Amino acid sequence: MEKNEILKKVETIFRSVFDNNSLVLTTETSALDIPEWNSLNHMILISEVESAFSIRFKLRDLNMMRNVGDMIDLIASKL
Amino acid sequence: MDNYQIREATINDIDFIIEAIIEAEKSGSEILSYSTVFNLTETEVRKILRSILMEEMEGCEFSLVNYLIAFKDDEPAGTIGAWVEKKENPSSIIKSSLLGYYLPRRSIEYAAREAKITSDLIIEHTADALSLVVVYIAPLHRGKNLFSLITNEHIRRHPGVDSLSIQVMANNIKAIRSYEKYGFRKSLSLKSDSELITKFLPYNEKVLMTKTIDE
Repeated sequence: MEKNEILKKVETIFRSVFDNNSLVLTTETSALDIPEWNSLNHMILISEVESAFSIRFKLRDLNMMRNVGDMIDLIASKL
Repeated sequence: MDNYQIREATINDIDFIIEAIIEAEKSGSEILSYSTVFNLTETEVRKILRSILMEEMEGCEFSLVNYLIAFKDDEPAGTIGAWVEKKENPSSIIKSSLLGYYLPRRSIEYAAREAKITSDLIIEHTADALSLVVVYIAPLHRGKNLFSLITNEHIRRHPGVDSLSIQVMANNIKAIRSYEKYGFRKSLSLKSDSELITKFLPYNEKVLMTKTIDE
């Protein structure tokens, strides 16, 4: 799967978790850009991404994830 | 003057830190949010907290290395966690990564389905401030000024930081008075009008208190 396809799929998940259909993600988007990206929503987000791509992040992966670009790189490395 | 020593928490202190996290989270009530939000028993919560604390990841309330413990006669008397909040690496994300990694998927699905309302009372930690969390003084050692003693030691270990922040449920009047006595002032309050909120949290209002660190 190409990274832009992953981004689109991740964007759909973000829109669902944050209940915002107009949300547009870039690789630079981070928790600082989305006020609703709090601790509970982060957990839900990670869980939904893992489920959608049938992957499991390692704890050190999660610890190094700073923005959507990092998330997409990690997903791509596991597919 | 009682003779207390202060040192950093180690893996040998995990039981005391788990007790502190649970008591602080209950805030004088019987509601343990980690149980109610994630549909877990307190025993399951304790087991998950142990695994998380063993990770020794820095920068959030589940970071063993961020706790100082006051001791008397080799017995732990009180603890407070503290770290300097970094805007580019928020503690809320570190904490939720740890929780999300160790929680069963069914718990996260339960929280997403039933407990999103608790987001109403989430206050992000203040960037660049020394965030104090999980203030716990064992019953026999209350009234001995341990809050000031441990907080002063945290400040001493973080030179250059110019402000403190602490969050507390608004029903915890004793704690709020103690923080005000130390010099904290209320700077933000979030309240939920939903009747459901107290199904998950000890109270429907949370307060952020801050203090400038004196030179």
